Amino acid sequence: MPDTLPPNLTAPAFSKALSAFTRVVGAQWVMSEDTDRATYIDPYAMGDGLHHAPSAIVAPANVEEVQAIVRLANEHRVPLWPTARGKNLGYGWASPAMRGTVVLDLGRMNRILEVDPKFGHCLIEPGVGFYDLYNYLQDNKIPLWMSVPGNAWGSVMGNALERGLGYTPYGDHASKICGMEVISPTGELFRTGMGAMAGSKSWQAYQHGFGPSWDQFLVQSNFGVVTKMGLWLMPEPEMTMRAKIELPRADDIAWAIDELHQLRLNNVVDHNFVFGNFMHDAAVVSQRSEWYDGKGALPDDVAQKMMDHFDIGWWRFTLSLFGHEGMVKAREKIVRQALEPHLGKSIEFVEWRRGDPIEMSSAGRPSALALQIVNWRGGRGGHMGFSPVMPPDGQLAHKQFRAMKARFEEHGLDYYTSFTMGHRHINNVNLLLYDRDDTDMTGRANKLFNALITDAKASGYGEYRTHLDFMDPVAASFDFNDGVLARLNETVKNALDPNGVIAPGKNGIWPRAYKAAGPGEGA
Amino acid sequence: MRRTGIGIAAGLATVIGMIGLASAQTARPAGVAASTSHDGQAMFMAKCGYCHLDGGTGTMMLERRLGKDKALLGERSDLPADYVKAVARHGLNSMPPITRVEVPDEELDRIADFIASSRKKATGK
Repeated sequence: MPDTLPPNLTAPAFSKALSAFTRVVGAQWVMSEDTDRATYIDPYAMGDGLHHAPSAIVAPANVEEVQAIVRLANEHRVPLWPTARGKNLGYGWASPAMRGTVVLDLGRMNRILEVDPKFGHCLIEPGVGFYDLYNYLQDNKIPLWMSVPGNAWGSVMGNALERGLGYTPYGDHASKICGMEVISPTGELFRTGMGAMAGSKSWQAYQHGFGPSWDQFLVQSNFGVVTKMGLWLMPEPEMTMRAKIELPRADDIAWAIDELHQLRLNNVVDHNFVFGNFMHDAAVVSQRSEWYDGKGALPDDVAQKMMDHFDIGWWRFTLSLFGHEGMVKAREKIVRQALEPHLGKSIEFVEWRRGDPIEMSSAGRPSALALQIVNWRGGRGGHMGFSPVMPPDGQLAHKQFRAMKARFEEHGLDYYTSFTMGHRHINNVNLLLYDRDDTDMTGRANKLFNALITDAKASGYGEYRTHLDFMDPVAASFDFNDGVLARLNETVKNALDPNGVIAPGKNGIWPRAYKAAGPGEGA
Repeated sequence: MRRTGIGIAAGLATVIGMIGLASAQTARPAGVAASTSHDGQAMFMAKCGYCHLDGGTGTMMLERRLGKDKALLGERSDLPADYVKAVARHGLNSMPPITRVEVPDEELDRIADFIASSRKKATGK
């Protein structure tokens, strides 16, 4: 692995900075050896990922150490890339956007500081994982439920800061943030929302505080280092009902999205859910070689054999109903009225009531099983997500599905998609699955990704989240009024972070100091 | 060790019915704070259990590559400790590398010794 320095720094100057970091956190927690740096390279990158290689890693143990490191970073002009647990799978892992940035690994800060059973919230540090919080709630018999993403190896806070998704009524994770503690880019400690008042009794009760709301300003941004986060948790419902629904035909998407949109909009179904194609499950429980050895995309007739074998539909989704029994039963009736005439059969629900085994419920339970998809092609598998946001309209979804499938086939990659239903939108999450050791395939995947950005833009759809490799082009696709938002972001960035030390290039926001390392001036 | 996950042995039909993302479930790492335990087995459960208990994604990958009898890492005794440590730090195939922040060297030493040991008290289930 080649030696890497932060831009604008000489080796002696960088060495001096690392010595200063070492005096704060101890020698064990400043790592610049190749073996350590390599563990922060995206293991699922399209290429070798070295263009996002960090120069070193520093791992503070508490907020005072974070503050000291940020101040030293300003003094020594060292860029830092904060990461919580570093499991941003499919979006770049723990790697920084800009090569040579020092990773600020907050994984050692892993305390659950407070869980309030009465008011339904928690206060956590960056290193708290979904399993940690889940186990804490279970072990202490606290009747609060979490929302967890499809792959739950990572950090609760990190996922919320990336606008991750879960599948309970609390599944829009960023929207459940309530109050943060933050180190500003110049090393000031501040608290957002009601926490801005010393001695506040309602930090995790009200999201906005007095004046501008800062929590959402810190989501998918590089405007500070979040060291504590308040998050709302869902009171355990009296009852849940859950049904897995299969749609046999690809074109069923048109009627289904229209019906499901009405159920979501009116909160009959009040959670996000994956409306995914057969690949979601088939790529977990089988490998491509079991079905097809051809170089191009999986042919439709082979896909049909897979569906027949597993007895699954072209599209699959799980609907859940949460709440008091009377509410759940009323909603069940509406769901049946909406969907059963199309399905031509009765929907089978699994019921859960308090006291029943939790496995039968619709509670969010952490799992890393979804990571199995990277093994679809065997060898060193990789994956990357392309996820534009679109309106929940049946005809538009059908058109999008057909166009995307054709693009995947044109580039010889298997079409893996979900039209994940939000309250008033769809996150069209597509995964590009590839063999990292097949340069022809990764080259096609790269071309496909760029084509998808262009296609989505032409349709009026932008990504909700993207991989490090594509943050600049995706940011550039938000081009209203000649890209005024990017200029506004950079104005704010330069004002808050005059030395540009916090996460240069994050979501396409480049500070003045590192503009040349990004898309460059005038880009 | 506790059996807390969906068993691979439960069969493909059962698994495929359960892996919708809304209800994805697998083995639960032990609720043991590894930092306060010197027990390599407990550390293995807490740090490797995300993927390497019964029903986990690492167990599935190992079964595909090496067969059922070598799928459960916690039951094996054919892996030298140094090999375990090298795989953890470098990754292997689809397994990502594990940083020294997530699993410090002293914890990895104990985990590797546990995996390498032929005197396991129980299984890796």
